[in-house]
Amino acid sequence: MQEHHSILYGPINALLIRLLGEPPVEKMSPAMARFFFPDGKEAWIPDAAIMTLLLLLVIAILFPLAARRFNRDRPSKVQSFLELITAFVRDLVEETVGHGSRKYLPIIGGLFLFIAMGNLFGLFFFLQPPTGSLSTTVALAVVSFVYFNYQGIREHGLGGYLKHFMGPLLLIAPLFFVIEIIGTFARILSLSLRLFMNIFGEHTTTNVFASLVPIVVPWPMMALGIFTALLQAYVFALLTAVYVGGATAHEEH
Amino acid sequence: MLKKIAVCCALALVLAMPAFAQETATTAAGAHAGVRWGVIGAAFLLGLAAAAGATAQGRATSAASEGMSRNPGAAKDIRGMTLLGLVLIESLVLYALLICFLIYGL
Repeated sequence: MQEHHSILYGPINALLIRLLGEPPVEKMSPAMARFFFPDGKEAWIPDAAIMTLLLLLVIAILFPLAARRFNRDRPSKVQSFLELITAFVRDLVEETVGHGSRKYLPIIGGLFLFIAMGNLFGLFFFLQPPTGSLSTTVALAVVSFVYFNYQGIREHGLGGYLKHFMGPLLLIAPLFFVIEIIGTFARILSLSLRLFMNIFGEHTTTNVFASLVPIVVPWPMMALGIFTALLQAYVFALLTAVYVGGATAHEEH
Repeated sequence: MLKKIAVCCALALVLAMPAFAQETATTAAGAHAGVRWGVIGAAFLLGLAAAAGATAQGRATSAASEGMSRNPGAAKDIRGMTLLGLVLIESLVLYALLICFLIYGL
């Protein structure tokens, strides 16, 4: 199955090769060469990284530009749409985490927007979804992991946070501790793999359908792709909120 | 109008026939290499995972529909929990798909 690159992959890498020469793959060990230059000698920056940077640029330019024209009493259509999205994420975090949800809103909302827009990149023929690469999704999952652990440690202190892993009884604490630690680290794996497999599988299947019958047959897969894109972003944000809520929960009574 | 759409769909499917013919030619050539147990295992794994996932998601959806019909006021909460449950079940099926991709070497 040949690779399908985005429209920016060729020009940017050609420019970098002209400026810097070919990637120095021979000077490193093979493992490091595969890590830093996953496409070998033909590309300095892989597709997922280019698409991530493009998405970052789009978000960093579009949203402040839209926010400049905000008016509290007469919201325009763009403002109403963006406020709808913000209210949606705010309600999601509020009903999942409970108290103190205002300070968790920026990063969970940022994750939601990044993943939603990144997944929707997969619908355009000249773009690749940045979340279609395992690197991006693992990075997002690590961000989520570090964030909820940091919030838990900030709330309870390190000892108090680790006491949550001990379980209900002191007798089975060692066994319970190991199981809880494994389960917490497995959250990175599950978050990243769920997002990656959904988007990569959707993208690959649509490409296969489009290579067979390019006109009408990919359309149901692409409709499913739109639905999956938004749903996966919602689930990632929801699960992050659930983990934050679980980490910062105070057990009253 | 409906007949026009049906005729166009049938035409599109008929036009895809040459691609199907090409698929079987390549697999017939590959069968001379001996029994590929990895591929058989991957096929069984994916079928089993999809069947189990579909059963579980069917039960989740039916329970959700029944709950929402009995208590329409709680529909929003039930919908949220149902979506979460469906996605978690789906992710298990996708782990099986990942193993199949690894077997095929994609």
